[in-house]
Amino acid sequence: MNASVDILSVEDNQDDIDLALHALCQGKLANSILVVRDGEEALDFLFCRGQFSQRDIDHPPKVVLLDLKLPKIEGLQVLKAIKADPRTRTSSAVIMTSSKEERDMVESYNSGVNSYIQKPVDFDQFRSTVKTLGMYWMIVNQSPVNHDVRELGRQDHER
Amino acid sequence: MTIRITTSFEGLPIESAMKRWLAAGVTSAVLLTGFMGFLSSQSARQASEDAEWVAHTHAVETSLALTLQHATDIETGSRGFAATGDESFLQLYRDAHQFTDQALKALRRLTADNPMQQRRLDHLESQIVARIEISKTMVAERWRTNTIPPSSLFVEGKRRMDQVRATVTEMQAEENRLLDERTKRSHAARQLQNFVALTSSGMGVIVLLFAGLAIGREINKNAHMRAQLNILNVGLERRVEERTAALESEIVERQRAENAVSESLASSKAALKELADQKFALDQHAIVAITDVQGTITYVNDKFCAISHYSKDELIGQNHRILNSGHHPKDFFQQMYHAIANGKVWHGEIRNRAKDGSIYWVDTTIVPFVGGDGKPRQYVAIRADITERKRAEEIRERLAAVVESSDDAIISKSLNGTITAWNPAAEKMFGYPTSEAVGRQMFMLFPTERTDEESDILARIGRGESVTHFESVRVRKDGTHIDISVTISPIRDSTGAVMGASTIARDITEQKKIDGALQEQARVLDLAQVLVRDLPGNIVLWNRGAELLYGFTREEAIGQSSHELLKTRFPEPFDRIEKRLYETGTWEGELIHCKRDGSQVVVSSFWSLYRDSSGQPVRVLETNTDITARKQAEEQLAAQAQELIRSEQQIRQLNEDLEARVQTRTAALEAANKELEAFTYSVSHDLRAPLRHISGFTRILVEEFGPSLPVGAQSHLQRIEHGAQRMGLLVDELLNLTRVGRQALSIQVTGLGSIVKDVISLLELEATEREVEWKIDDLPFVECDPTLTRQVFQNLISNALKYSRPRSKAVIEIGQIEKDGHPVIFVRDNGVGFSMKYADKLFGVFQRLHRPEDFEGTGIGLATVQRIIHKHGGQVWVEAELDKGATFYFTLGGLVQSVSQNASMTAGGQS
Repeated sequence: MNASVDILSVEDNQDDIDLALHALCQGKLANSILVVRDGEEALDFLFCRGQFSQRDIDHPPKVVLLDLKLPKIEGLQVLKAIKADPRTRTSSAVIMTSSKEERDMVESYNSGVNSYIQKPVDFDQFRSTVKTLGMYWMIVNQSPVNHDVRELGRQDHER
Repeated sequence: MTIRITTSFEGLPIESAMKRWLAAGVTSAVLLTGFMGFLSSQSARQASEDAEWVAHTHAVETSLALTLQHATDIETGSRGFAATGDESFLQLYRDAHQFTDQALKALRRLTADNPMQQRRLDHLESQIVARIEISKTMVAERWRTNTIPPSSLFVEGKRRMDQVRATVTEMQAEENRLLDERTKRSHAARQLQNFVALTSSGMGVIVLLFAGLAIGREINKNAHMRAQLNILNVGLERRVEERTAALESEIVERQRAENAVSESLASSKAALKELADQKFALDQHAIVAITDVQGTITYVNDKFCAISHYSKDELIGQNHRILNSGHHPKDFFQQMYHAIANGKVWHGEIRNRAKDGSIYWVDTTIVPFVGGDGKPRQYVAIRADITERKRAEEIRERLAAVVESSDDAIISKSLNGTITAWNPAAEKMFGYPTSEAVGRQMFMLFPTERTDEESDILARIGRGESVTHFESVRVRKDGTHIDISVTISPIRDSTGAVMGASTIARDITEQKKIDGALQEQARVLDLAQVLVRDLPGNIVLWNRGAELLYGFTREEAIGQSSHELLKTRFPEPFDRIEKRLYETGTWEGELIHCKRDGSQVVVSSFWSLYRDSSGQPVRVLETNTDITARKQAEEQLAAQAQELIRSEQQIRQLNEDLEARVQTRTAALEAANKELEAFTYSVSHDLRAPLRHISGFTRILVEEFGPSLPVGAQSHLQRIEHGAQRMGLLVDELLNLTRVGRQALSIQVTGLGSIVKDVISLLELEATEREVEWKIDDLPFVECDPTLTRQVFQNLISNALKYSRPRSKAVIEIGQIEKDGHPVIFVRDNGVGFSMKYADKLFGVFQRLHRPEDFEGTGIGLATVQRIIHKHGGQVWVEAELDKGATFYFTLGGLVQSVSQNASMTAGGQS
């Protein structure tokens, strides 16, 4: 696996994966993206378990793109796990989903999601959204991914 | 007196002893005299007949002296016994009595030769017999009465004695005269004899000498004896005189004392009878008892037995305490015994109890009889029955107490109106103390306008008439007036003449007030139905209210048994009712009574038991209230209540059914909702994904391979993409519609003007190239869900814009009208409009009146509008005409509340 993963995309639908990667590639963002297929894999990666046990937990992805409807572990569960752990809390979590249901939105924001995006049916819209999003989180938004903070976070966790 | 007499004769027993000596001496003197007489006669016979005569004379004189002595002894003995009761006197009396006869016989013998002296002796004898008779009487009297015989006897005795003495003196004088005569004769004879003897015989001389010596000796002896007798006689006489004087003074004293009892005792024999009569009278009049010092009864008279109802046998030997009634305190009797034990006469009034328990009062005088030792030997109680007087006194005292304690003023006045008596109630009533009122005129109590009244009253009283319960007004001392009721009656003296008047006045000031209140109460009471019955149940009071209720008049009801008259039906057994009444004093319950006309009446009955002052039940007061109407009303009410309960039960049943149905329905709806929700969710989530994929890959295909594809293929790809997009839109709209249905309203006061303004500003962006005239009225503030209301306006206004597109100038009007008092909002356009015959299809889902080529749309927008309006409880309708435009009206139902608004807040007509 890549040593550095900037974007972790958690998506079970291959079509959506392809479309998303297509859009990200067009936006020159796909080189540091990792796609996992369900919530369990996502958590394994994030917390360096299972197949990702060799991974360095000190390098969390900058952005985690989550679908809500995921096999095994729901997207919201993953979101809550990310935001509950100080080592992963600094990663930006973005819910990307077909649902525009209010309750999903409300619960996502309550769980600490950074953005909630409904995937548009129109591909142009989808593509521009993904691009904007990728750019925004990777470049514009300076997330506090420095070592000090992570050190502090880890110490908190260990403690 | 008896005692004093006894004392003054104390020395007598000694003298009587001397007397006996004297008697012995006299007796011996008599013997001696007899002997001397014999010697004398012997010597006289022998010597001189004259000398015999001298001796004879001396013998007579001696006998006379003795006779007188005996008579004196008789008198002394009888008087002594009579005065003292000392029987030693009787001995002297009896002895002397015996010797008197002998002495008289001797005298008769001695004076047998002298007829004169014989006559005197007869006289003397009769006198002595008379004197003895008196003595006998005195002694007998003393025996009989054990009291001193009347003084008249003593006086008579003395008189008789004086006669005896006079006769004796007379006889002595005669004898002395005879002796003188004979002595002279004897002297001459002796001279002659001496001469004869001297001359005849010396022996004769000696004999004569002896004889003369003997005679001389005898003469000397006799003379000596006579002197002695004289001395004795004088001594006796003096002592008799002394004793007589002492007795007389006693008698005088006694007479003085007895004079107090009866003056008639002064005379002689009549006094004795009178005394006996008086004793009889005393026994007739007085109650007499004698007790010993211990109080044990020793004598009672008949009166005593009569009043005490005890017989003599029952009383004698009993202590006098047997009669004690217990009325007097202990010290009362202690004082009495103290007095009489000290020899003092006690007088007082005693209340005794007779054998049968009856009470009697006696006025009592107790005289202690004191013995020789100065201590009382016995007590004589003389009593008079004063029971009647006491009773009268008690009545009088009670009457006086009644007058004193009376609440009514009791006044007596003379006929001229002067107050003569004034009781405490009068003091209180009129304010004048008794001391002030008595002596003044009744006029002082009369108000000036009523002064004539007193004159009239006095006039009537003067005629012997009475004034009863006369109500008037009087003035008190302090000037205030009081209402009084007076009864004035004449007071008569013993002859029946009117001498004054008694006035009894009662203060009726309060009474008058009470009378007023009572009349009022009586009137009020007559409103109630009251009857009073006695314990057997007979009606004794039946008031006006009862008459009215039952129809029986007072006359018909009084005396009838109330339960029979009214055919009372009791709610529980009568004995139980009575038990409660007697236990608690009251009973309360409902009774059914029968009126006079036979109709029945239900009464609420209240009984209360009246008791007299001793607590004995006497009456039952029954108050009955007619509750027939109330009962009927109650029954009706009860029936209605039953009906109501049944209805309620039905309603409740219906409600329950309904509730159950609602619950079932709700459950079904909830299930349907859940299903719908799941459906919607999967639509929004799962249906959109493939559309996205279709759209996405079609896009990529067009972009990456488009130029190499034939034109037809490109067109088809475009249609695929378009279809996918349209389907996405439909899905979104449908989801929106369902969300409206599911979502709960969030009501708040919302300014419709600002919503409209926002919506227009957004929609204008899509119609920048078009000319649109906006006509926007003032719109109200209403309570509604602002998000959904915004959707309503958005859908309606975008429709208006869309369907007015063919117009060169779109005119869109948004305003407010009133319909049935409710505000109605409308959105009007001048667009293509539609025929009203399709109006009912307009709000259906997917219902469209235009072709998609002409006007795009999903056919869901108006359905959403209608759903939102209905959710608010409002209505939505449309008025349209083909090619003329359409107007959509809606209300927000009961939730639309006009809130005062400001023109400046509206978005009205700026663009």
